Amino acid sequence: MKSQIRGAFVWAVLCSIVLASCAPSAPATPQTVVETQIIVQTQQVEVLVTAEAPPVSGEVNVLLIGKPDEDSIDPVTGKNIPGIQQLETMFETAYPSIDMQITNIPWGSGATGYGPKTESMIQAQEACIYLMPGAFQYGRRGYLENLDPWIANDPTFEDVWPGDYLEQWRGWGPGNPDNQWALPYSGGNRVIHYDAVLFEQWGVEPLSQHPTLDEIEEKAKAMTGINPVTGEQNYGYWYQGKYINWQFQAIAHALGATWGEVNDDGTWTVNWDTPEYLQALEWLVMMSQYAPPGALAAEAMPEGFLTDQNVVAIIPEGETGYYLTPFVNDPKLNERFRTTYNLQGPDGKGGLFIADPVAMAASCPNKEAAWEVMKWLTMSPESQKYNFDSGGNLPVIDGAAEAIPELAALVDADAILNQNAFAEIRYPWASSQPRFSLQAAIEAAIAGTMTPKQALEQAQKETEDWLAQQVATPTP
Amino acid sequence: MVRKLRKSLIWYVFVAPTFILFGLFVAYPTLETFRLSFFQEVATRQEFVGALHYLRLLGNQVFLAALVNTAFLGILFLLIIIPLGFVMASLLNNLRVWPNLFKAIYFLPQITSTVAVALVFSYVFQPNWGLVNGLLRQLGVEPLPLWLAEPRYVLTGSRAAVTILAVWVALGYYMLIFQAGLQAVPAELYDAAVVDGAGPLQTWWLITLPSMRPTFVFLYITGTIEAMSRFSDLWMLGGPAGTPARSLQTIVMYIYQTAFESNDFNLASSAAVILFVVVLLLTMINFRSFLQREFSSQSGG
Repeated sequence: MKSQIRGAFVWAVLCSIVLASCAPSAPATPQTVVETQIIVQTQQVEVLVTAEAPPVSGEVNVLLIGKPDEDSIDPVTGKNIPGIQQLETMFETAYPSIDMQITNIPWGSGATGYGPKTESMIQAQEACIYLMPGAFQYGRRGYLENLDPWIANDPTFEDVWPGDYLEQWRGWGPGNPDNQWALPYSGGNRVIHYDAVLFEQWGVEPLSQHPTLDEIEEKAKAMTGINPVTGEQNYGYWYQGKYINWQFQAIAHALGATWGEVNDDGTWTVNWDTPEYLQALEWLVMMSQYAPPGALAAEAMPEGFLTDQNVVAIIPEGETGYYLTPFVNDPKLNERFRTTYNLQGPDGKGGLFIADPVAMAASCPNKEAAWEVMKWLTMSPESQKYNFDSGGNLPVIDGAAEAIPELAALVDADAILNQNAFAEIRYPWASSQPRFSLQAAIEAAIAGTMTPKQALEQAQKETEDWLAQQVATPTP
Repeated sequence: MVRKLRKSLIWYVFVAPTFILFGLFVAYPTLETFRLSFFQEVATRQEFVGALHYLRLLGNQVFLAALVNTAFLGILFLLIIIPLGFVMASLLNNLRVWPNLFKAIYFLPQITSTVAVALVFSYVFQPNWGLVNGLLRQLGVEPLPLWLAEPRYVLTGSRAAVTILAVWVALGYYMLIFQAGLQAVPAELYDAAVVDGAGPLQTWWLITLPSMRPTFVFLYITGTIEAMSRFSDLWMLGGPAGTPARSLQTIVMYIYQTAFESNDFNLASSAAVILFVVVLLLTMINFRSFLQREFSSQSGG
C-alpha cells in the first residue's frame, strides 16, 4: 500500500513537472486591459456586455533603498515621516490584485553599502523591481529587462518626465546597443549656490541665473580676502575634493569638452587629453586658490554652509541632499543661500544628471504585474510625493511640484526643479576606471604634484590601458 | 573502529556548527574567489579565460601603485606601533596606581567603530578648522599643514595623518599583548641580574628584550597581515578614489572599487587572489626568518 502511494506521488510530481515545462511561457510583451464587446441576441432585446481581461495579479518583490522602515517624527521640525508600509498601502489600494512586497535596505557605505546587497539580490533573483542607481552596469551585463517593448505596447504609458529624463536611462546591452533600462524614480540635482549676504557685504552683483565661467571667476576673485563688513577671512569659491570629477565635467563641458562615446560593441572611446579639458583643468587649478585650504579633502559643502558662519561666497555642486529639506523647513535660508542653474555648454546642457531609476530584472517571473508596479512607482504623483515626504527627494514627473506646495514656494524653485532637465546625458563610465583615473589626475594637478597637462596625459594613458583590456561583449 | 568513532561522535557534533559556519562563510567564498578569477562574465554567463585577469593586473599601474602604497603605509605603521607599544607597555607594567584603568582607556579605541574613528579624525585633521591645526595656529605655526589634502610624502601629509590614526587605534591592543609578554618573563631572571649587578638598562636590553622575542614576532606577523588588508578607515577618509591623488589607496580599496563600483567581479577576484598570495608569502618569509631558531630547537630537541 505504502509503495503504491509512493508510486502515485512520484507520478504526480513527474506529471506536474512535464505539464509545467510544456505550459506556454509568459509573453514577452505586456498584456494591456482588453475590452471585448459581446453582443448577445435574445428573442427581442439586444444586450451589450463589456468584458475586461482579468487584471494582472500576483506578488511583486521590490528592492528600495533608504526609505524609513517605520512611521516617525522629524525631531527638528516635528513633521511626520511616513514609513515604507504607507507606500505599500497606497499601491495596494490602487492595485488590489497585486501584492507589492518591499525589501528596504539602507544606502550604507563601503562593504555594507547598497551595492553588494543589490548584486546579491539580482544574482539570486530575489526581486523583480529594483531601485538601481547603477542600472547601466546591470543592463550591460544582461540582468535587466529592456523596457522598450513594454512602453511600445502599453497605451496607458506616458512620458511624464521633463526634458531628457527618460532618454537618460537608455544604454547599451548585449545584443542591442540601445535599450531603455530603467524609468526615472526619484530626483535630485547639482546646482550652484551663492551666499547673498556675502555678495551684499562685498558689494558684488548677485550671480545670474545661468552663470558663466568668466562671471564666476570675476566674482570669486573679488570676494576672496578679508570681508569689509565682518572682518573675517572669506573665500570666493568652493570645490568638493573627493568628488571633484563631477564639478570638473561641468566646467569642461561649459568649455565645449565632451568625454567621448559608446562604440557599437559596447566599449567606449574616452578623450581626457584634449585642449578643452586642459583649459578646464587649468581654470579649476587657478580657481582653487580662491577656495578654503584643504578643500581637496572635502566631500561635501563647506563648513558653515546654511548657517550664519558661512564664509564661502560661491558654492558649486550643491546637492539636494544637503539643501532641500533645510530650505523647505526654514524658508529664510533660501533667501540667503540662493540657487542658480549649473554651468551650461554650447548645447545648453551641463551638470551631472541626478536621479535614481527603477529597473526590472530580466529574470522576473511576473513581468506584467511588475510593469504595473514600476509605472505606479515612477509615474504616479502619490509615489513621488511619498519620496519627498519620506526622504526629501525631488519629484521627477512634470507638475509634481504643484502637488507639493513647499517646493513651489522656494525662492529659486525654477532652478531647483528644472536643473536636472538640462543636465548632461549620464556618463556610462561614472563608476569605472576612467572616472578614477581622471579623479586622481585632477587631484594631483590641484595639489601641484603634476601640471594639468601631465595629469591629463596620465589619465588618458591609464584610461586607454584599461580600455584596451576591455573586450567587446558578444551578442548572446 | 566503529565503536571508537561512535565514542568520539559527540565531539564532532560539538565542532560541527563552527566547522559548518567556517565552510559556508570562509572556505566556500575563498574557493569561489579562486574560481571567479579564472572566468570572465559575458552577459550573464561566466566563460573560462585562464590567467587573463592576472596578466591584466600585472601590467596595471593603478593596481601595482595600490600594492606599493599598501606596503608603504603598512611599514610606516609597524615601524611606529611596535616600538611605541613596547615602550608604553613597559611603562604601564611598572605603574602601581590604577594600571587596569589605564589599560582600559588605551584599549578603548580598539573597540570603537572604525567608521566613527575615521569620522572624528577627519575633523581632527581638517586643515581649516580642525583640532590639530587649531592648536598649531595658537602656537603661531604658518603656513598650516594640509594633512588629508596633502598627497606628498611629508610628515604632515595624508599618509602621516592616517598612520597617526592607525597607531592611535591599535596602540591599546599592542600594549596589552606586550604586557602579557612582559608578565611572562620569569622573575628569577631579573633577580639573578640584580645579584650580578646589572643596571636597569642592561636588564632591559639583555633580559627583557630577548625574552619578548616571540611576542615581537607574533605582533609583527599579525600586524603585517592587518596592514595588507587595510580598508575601512582609508575608505572613509579617502573616498572611492583614495583622495588625495591616490595617496590613501590600498589594495583592498582597489579590490572593492573594482568589484562593487565597476562591477568587475572577476578582475577583483584575481586581485584578491594576488593579495592572498602576497600575504601568504610574507607570512612564510616572516615565519622562516624570525622563528627559524624555534623551529630548529624543536626539531633538535
